[in-house]
Amino acid sequence: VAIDALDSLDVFAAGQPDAAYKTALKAKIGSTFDIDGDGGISYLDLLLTPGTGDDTTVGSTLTATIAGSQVDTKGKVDVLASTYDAATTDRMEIESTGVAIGIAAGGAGGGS
Amino acid sequence: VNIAGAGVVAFNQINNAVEASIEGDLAGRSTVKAEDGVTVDAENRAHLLSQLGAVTVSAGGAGALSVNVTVSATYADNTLGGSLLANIDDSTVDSSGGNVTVDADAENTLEAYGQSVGVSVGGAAGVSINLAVSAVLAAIP
Repeated sequence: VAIDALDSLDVFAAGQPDAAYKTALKAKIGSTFDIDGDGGISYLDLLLTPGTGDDTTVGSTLTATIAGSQVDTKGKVDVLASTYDAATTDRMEIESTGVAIGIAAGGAGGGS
Repeated sequence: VNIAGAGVVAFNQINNAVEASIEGDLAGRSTVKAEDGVTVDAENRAHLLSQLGAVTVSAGGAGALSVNVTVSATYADNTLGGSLLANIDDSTVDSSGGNVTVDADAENTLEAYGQSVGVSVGGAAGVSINLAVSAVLAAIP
């Protein structure tokens, strides 16, 4: 597939690359990053899986209560609910790390 | 033509419901009598750390034409939510010698880091086109 814009270097002109160039380039490489076909490349093109199985969600219900009760003490009454342990510094936490690497290289006598 | 693409997407969510209470129920009102004070304390200290990185490298050389394209992107959608409640309801509290304290404290932290790098290198006797596109997106609904 010929990329006409490249032949005349028009791809470097203002307003380029135009739609014709992009179309020709896509045809030449045989694929596109515009996965969802919305005309642009964005994070939406990365959503390759429609499910949420790879999402990370942490949720909990923590309750400390005195309900319908009689309490009588000469000391102190504490009702405490916390997601943080001051003694161990443990807390509710998500640490998420993701790395992606892509490499493409090639060389040829005619076209690469 | 050499094309390299890399992308990372992360969805992280923490939802906690934390409650500390003195309250009545179907059995009746609660009565708390303490000579040294009463404390009702609800605390939420959640932490969310998201680190994403995408790196792409595209390189090529040719005698007539060399086209090298890289696209790298990261997207993070992080949510910290939930509810926090400290209350005294439908109850009688008597503290003769100390304070009555009702405290709800939220100290949630969210750290999100995204790095996106694209390197495109090419050489050709005729025409060499090198294009690198990088994007970092972060959303806190």
